[in-house]
Amino acid sequence: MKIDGRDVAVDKGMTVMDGCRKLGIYVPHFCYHPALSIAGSCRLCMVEVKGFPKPMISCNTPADAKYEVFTGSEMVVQARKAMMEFFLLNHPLDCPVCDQAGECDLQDFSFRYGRGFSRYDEGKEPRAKKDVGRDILLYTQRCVLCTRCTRFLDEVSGTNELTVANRGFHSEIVNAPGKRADNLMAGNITDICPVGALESKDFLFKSRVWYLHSTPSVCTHCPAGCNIKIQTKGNRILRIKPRTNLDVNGYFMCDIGRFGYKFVNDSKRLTGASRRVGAASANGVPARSMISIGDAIETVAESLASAAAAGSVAAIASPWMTNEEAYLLARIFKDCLRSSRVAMLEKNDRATDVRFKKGFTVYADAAPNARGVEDVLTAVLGGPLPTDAEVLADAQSGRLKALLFVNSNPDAAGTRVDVTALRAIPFLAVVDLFAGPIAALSHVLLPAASAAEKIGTFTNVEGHVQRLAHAVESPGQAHPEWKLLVEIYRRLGGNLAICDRPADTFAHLATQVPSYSGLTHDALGDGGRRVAAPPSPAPAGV
Amino acid sequence: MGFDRVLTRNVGKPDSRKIDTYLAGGGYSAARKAVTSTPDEVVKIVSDSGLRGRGGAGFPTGKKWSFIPKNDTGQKFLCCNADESEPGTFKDRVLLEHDPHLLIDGMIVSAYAIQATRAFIYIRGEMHAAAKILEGAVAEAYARGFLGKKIFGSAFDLDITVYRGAGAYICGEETGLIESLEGKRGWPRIKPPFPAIKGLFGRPTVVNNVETLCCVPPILERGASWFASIGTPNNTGPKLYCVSGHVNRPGVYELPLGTPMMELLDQYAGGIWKGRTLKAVIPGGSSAAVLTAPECQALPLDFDSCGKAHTMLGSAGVIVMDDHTCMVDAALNVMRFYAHESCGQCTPCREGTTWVAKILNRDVHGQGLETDPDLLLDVCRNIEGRAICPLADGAVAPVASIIRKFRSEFDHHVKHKSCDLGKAAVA
Repeated sequence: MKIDGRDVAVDKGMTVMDGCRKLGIYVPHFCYHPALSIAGSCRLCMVEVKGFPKPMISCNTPADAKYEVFTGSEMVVQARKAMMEFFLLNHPLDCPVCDQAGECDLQDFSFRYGRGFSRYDEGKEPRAKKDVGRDILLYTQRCVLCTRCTRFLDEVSGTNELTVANRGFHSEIVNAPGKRADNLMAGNITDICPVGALESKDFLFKSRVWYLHSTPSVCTHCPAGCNIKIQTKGNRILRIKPRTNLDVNGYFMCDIGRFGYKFVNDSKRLTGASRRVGAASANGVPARSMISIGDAIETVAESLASAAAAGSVAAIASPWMTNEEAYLLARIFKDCLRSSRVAMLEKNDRATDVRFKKGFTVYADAAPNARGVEDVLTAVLGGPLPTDAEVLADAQSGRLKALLFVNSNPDAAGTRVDVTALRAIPFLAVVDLFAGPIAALSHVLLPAASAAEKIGTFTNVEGHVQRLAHAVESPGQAHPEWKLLVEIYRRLGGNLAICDRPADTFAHLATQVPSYSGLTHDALGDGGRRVAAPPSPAPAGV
Repeated sequence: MGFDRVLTRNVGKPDSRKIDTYLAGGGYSAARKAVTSTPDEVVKIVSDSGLRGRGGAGFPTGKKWSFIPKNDTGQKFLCCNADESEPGTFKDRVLLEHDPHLLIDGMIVSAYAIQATRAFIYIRGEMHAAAKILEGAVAEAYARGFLGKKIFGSAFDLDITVYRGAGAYICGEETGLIESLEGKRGWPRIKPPFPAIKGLFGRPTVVNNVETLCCVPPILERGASWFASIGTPNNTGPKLYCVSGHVNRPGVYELPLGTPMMELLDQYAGGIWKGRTLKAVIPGGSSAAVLTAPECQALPLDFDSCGKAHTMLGSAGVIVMDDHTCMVDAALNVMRFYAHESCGQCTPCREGTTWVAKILNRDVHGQGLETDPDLLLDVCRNIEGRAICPLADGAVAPVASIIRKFRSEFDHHVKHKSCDLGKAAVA
């Protein structure tokens, strides 16, 4: 097939639109979305096919080796211009107060393909703004009826909360009777809406989108490892958007991840190190005083070393840690403390996995990296790893002299552990995000960084290793766990060559963990790499 | 008026809708004959007869049947399109109400030809009486063993279900009909795939008009060459013409295809009423382009001749307008219908039909602009050929042709802020 004078090979089942995409030729469209069925209703993706008298919609025209296609001919330009005029007939043109402005296909297409002025003299018919879901508003009058939202809710989530009501010019998207768009994937319809019709209440009027800085990263709220864009203004996260990765999450993410960023901005985050002052009463919480990070690390290193000498040191590793952090923790124990008592923090499950119609899964496990931390600890320290219950039993029985507990759970009350066992430990060091019940019992508490504040890698449930990126600065004196661990490692006399940056740590890790062999941060890129075959059957991606 | 009626031969007989009346006239012999032939033989007879679809498009029926994949042994469907809602069209209703067994006979033959064991009659919601009559007729046919398992002692099974629509014009479009029959919104499908490959419930499906199916039994009874001898070459067989509007005797007339327009109007429909003169005719239901009186003079009413005259025979809904008709108002009348009936799925039709209706509305009420006719023609051009289904083209054809052929009336409306014709003629 020839498109704009360039040849493209025709495969079975391919459309003209597919051919254009293959060649990187952009054809404007509203209803077409690669993850959804073909609607063919917006009539904007029209192209000219030589020999056909009318423009053809590229999304539903089967490719043919005999076709000669033009995407910018006079016929196409005229047809698009006409269609853009139709789209704007009843559109309120309220870009100045519309959140979509700046990332709006209708705006962009009007600018590129539209006619600049309208010949429509009649009054516009107002359409109500509707509250269609927990986080979703529908500005009905801005809608172009592409039906991406209804097709998504039908085909991908399978929940069918929205539908089209009425006919002709009066057609509009409405809630299906008795249903609100509250499913765990509902937020995606605000992303795939090509115009300003479906808007997120969470982001409403927060910022013009062109002031946002976007950082590619990975979601930290379950082990699916959905690729995300962290969008920030100044040092605040304003919203999270899914980032396309066909090997992992497809085009979508869930609402837990989408709105889970709020803990990062939380004013109750730990911002400095502290130590315990005096003893705790039976059920009471000991008093604390702030200390410098340096002093805190010094105390932790010394206490771990002396307990190690007595043969009674252990750690509990958090599944919120990056692979690099798990590696540093493992090296501290192997190289300096000569111990292999590092347990994985037990999974912090939500009720059950939630699996949607087309396979997209929100996992019950609330932590992102159980698999990666386990891979790394097992490779360095040898398996099987002790369980956190075994470590806590040691503590209860008085055998344990010092415990380094990396919690770092974004949910301050989310980690369920036996607190009486923690009370029995002579020296408890905790690394955490919030002053939760575990932190309250610590002798030394170190403030950790959230996943949005650090560099590193996570390994998702299918063994896909992906990079996190530094999107915002940590509050106060909070530090990424890798920095804290590096300092402890340094003070205990560790191998400094692996310490400089997470990228160096990862390169070293790759020499020690067999399945990660040869990987580097650069090699992972923005899409990550799979280190294991996906479990059968089908992967979670959509 | 020497034409021997074929399709309406039983109309007017007492109890014409009863199975015994139909059988007394040799009824169901076509179905009997079909099930003892091979499907290919049936398709060939119908192809040889030259029968073209009576729903509007005039597509050769035998050819449509032959698109059904032969090596597919799975379920196939036949749908009878009885959603007659084209303005100016009321021919199928006559057949449904007066001779339902002719249709059932034709459906058995057609279903056998495409080897469909399941058939539906999708009937327009407003046709209460016809639906009741049909249901009664289907029950009679079941009772005689003409429907159900092993009909007429053959190995062929056929079940027919009468399904009532809810009155949407768009459900007369074949894929809109299929969607509606599946219980969904009557939104026409994008093609490909075509219904012959993926139709009802994703299976090969043929959708035929009532009149088309009623043509099939006579073809089997009396032969392809007999059928082909009626009408003109490539436009064969009898046709029901629906005459409405400003004539003395509006009604349904069965005549051979190719009957001259003026013969139909003057000899059958009793000429223009109230002693007035002919101004314009829409020959094929409101989706067809308008013809001026001079254009009507020598026009044979068949598919090809109408096509040559840049209009279409369509459903043969002949809408007659006398010289008291305001053509601007006529255009508004037509476009208001399409704006109301547009399903809203695709952009040009959803937005365009309403826009055109709004402009026409201001023109009718003397608030139009000099530039309106050109604007209307341009908007029509932007709708035409750009939509999913033919509704949009059908909306544009009459209006654009009225503007082109009666432009002076638009100019008069703008200049004088009113119509130069008596409003009473329209009311």
